[in-house]
Amino acid sequence: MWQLNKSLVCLVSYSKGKSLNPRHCTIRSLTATVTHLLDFFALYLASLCRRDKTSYTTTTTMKVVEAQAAVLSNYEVLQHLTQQKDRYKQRKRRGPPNLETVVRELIQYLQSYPNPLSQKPSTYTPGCISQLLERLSPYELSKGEVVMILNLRPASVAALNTVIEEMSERFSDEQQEEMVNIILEVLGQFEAAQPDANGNADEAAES
Amino acid sequence: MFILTKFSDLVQISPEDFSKHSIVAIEDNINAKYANKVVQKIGLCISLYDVLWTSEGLIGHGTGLVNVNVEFRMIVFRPFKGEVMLGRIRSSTPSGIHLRTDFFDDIFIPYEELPQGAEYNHSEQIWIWNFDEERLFYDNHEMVRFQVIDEEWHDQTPAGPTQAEDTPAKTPYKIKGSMAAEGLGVCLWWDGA
Repeated sequence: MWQLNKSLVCLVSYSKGKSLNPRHCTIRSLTATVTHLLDFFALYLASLCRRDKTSYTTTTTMKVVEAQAAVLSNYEVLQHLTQQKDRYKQRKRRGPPNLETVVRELIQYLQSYPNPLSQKPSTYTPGCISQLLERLSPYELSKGEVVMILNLRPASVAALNTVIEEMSERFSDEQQEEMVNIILEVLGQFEAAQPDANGNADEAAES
Repeated sequence: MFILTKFSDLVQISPEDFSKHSIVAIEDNINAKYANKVVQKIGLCISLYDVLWTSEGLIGHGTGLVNVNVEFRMIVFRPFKGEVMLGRIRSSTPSGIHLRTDFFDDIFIPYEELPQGAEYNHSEQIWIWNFDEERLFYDNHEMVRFQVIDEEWHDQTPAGPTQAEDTPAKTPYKIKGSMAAEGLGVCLWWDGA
């Protein structure tokens, strides 16, 4: 743009006959300036056209604005999908087939034993995530560790060990017990006392 | 396991969808394009989460399509490295164990990532873990816990005439996992007392 302005100034000053620099007054330099100017206009027009095209046509306009805007727990995903399913049902219509497939399979995955979301009635509530975050905050767990706790609901110290890195070095035995108890209180657990619920699930898993 | 990714894209609503509310038409359009598909280096798209912004609808020359620029968020399946997940055993080979979840099939546990003492049984085609004189079986369809250690991406965009006709398409997104650490492996071993 700066160059364009410069050549414009040259041209204007020449036409007004005010240019004091003799170099600018030769015919050759004038034609050079004009072609320079025309080139710039052509480029500018071309760029305009190009911009116009991309805003209308082609299907390759997908752009990733933010690769990871947030992390979702399984519970939140299930919540969203079931709500979406209800919405479709209310309107008495279906979504695109590829969406139907993946949603059906994902709900099936999230609701199969031993996933904690398979438990009926659900022990997860909308408030339980913030409650768990608050109660686990003194232990300074990483975000990923808390997400895994939410998703897997480890019910024993051994199970917690797979989720938390270098647990024995970071926490004492009492602290580990405390964490397991907090998880039990906030997120609930599978009822071991009811043999039929657990037994059935085990059989289903084996068959 | 799931993340939200913010995309911006051009949505083209065709005239037969004009009877729908605009937001429903946009939603359906985005889901039809993205759901159950892998975006390279992002993950497996599941479903639209919310629409953040849309432009005015514009009709171009030549077609009756309404063009809308939309910014939206998708739910994407993209487990992070080190994440522990549940999966089912699909099949076993001497090189390792193939796992699947109901919605995603390409998870592989190489044999080096199985616990010490694991051996492959050729007659039954399953892996067996010899642990304290006990033989524990990695049966097919068994629910297992595994840890994500790596991921592999293969762009499936056609390479042009240089690409041989019969090269099998590589899976666009593959997860490599480990079951070597304590607590990982078949869930029943650890949970079923």
